[in-house]
Amino acid sequence: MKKDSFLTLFENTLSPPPETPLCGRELCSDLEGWDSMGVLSFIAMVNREYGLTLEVEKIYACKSVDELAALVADQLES
Amino acid sequence: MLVSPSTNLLPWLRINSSPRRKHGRMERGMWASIRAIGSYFPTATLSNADLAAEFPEWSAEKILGKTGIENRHISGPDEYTSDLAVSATRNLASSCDCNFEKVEFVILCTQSPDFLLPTTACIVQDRLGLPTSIGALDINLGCSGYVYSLGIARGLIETRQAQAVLLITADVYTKHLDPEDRTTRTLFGDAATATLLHGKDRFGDDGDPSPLIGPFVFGTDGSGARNLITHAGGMRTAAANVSNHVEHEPLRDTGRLYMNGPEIFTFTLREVPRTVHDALKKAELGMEDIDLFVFHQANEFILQHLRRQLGIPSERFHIAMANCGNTVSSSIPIALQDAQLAGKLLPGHRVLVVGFGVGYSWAGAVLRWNPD
Repeated sequence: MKKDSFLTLFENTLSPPPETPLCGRELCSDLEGWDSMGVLSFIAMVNREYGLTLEVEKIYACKSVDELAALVADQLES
Repeated sequence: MLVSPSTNLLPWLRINSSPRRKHGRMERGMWASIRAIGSYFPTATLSNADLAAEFPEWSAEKILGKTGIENRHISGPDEYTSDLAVSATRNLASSCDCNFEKVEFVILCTQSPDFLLPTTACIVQDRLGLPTSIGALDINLGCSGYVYSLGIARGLIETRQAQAVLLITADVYTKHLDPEDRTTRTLFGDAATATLLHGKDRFGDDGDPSPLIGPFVFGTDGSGARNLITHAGGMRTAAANVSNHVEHEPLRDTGRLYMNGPEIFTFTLREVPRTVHDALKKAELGMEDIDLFVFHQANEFILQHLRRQLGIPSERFHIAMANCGNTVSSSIPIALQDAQLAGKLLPGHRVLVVGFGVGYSWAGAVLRWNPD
């Protein structure tokens, strides 16, 4: 999984999208749009783009965007 | 206080007090069939602009974009499930040339009954002026409830326990909602529907011997109960005399609906595609044999995701929630009625209906649309 493409896909799940491109180190709690609708959009994006259905508790355990990316990468490898 | 006394037989409902027919006089070899569907929506509405004014962090455009909902109908302060149920039946009676004389059973699907007891269906029987010789029961299911109720109604008719069944779905779910919970207030609206089902000769004029309602597939996973729940109102909280807050979660009111949206969505991704495939397999049909797919109208975002995942063309997938929101067990019959009025659902069409949600509970069924 390429991090750049993940970040672009992730940015598009947020409403409103971030004003500047994400680097990955951002805290989820600091992102506008990372609410229940944002999480739902993220689950849908991962399901559509990567064919994965993530566990919700594991999503909420991720503190940063990089941790979300790592969660997806781990699931793809397992 | 109980409502409307039984002496007021409603003139719009064509009922007489003649004795029921004996079972021996009924036709042999019949399929249960949907005769007609009626609906009712409370007058008051809640728009996205209203919600955006209360919750400025969500714009009206964002709400529409994420849910596909523009308006929800909200029951009045003195308007309850039996009121909606009676109004939906009244609308059904006035919109079709239906014969209610053969109704021998009322099924009322609701999760917001007028009272903990008695059964709301009994109150509705009285208010509709239906004979005391009929059966009546409530079914406590949410978004899967219409499909389950169709299964029960089919069983009652085809085993000759009832010549016709009045299947009502009615909920005032908005009374479950926390005024501060923007997520649930954005989604849910109040509504009721009434479906009249009766028996038809199994070998009707279309020459197709397959059932008009069914086959069915059902599913249950109570491990998901905690993800969509109103804690208070049953004996578990009443008998324990607990406070009005959920244990370990001091900010959550036990009397209000709690919904973990992401968990519900994950459940949906897991079970709905499987239900579709299982129902088709049981009916010995392929995706291409279905003229219209009608799923529980949970949220347009979720529905469109499921549609794409299943490869269903948009013209064969009906969504009808923009002006009413998620109406729980009423959402499928509302969508069926809407599709029929729009000319998308025609006699002879095969429809796949799938209900899913609170419980977790889910069900799917194939219908052959043959409303006469």
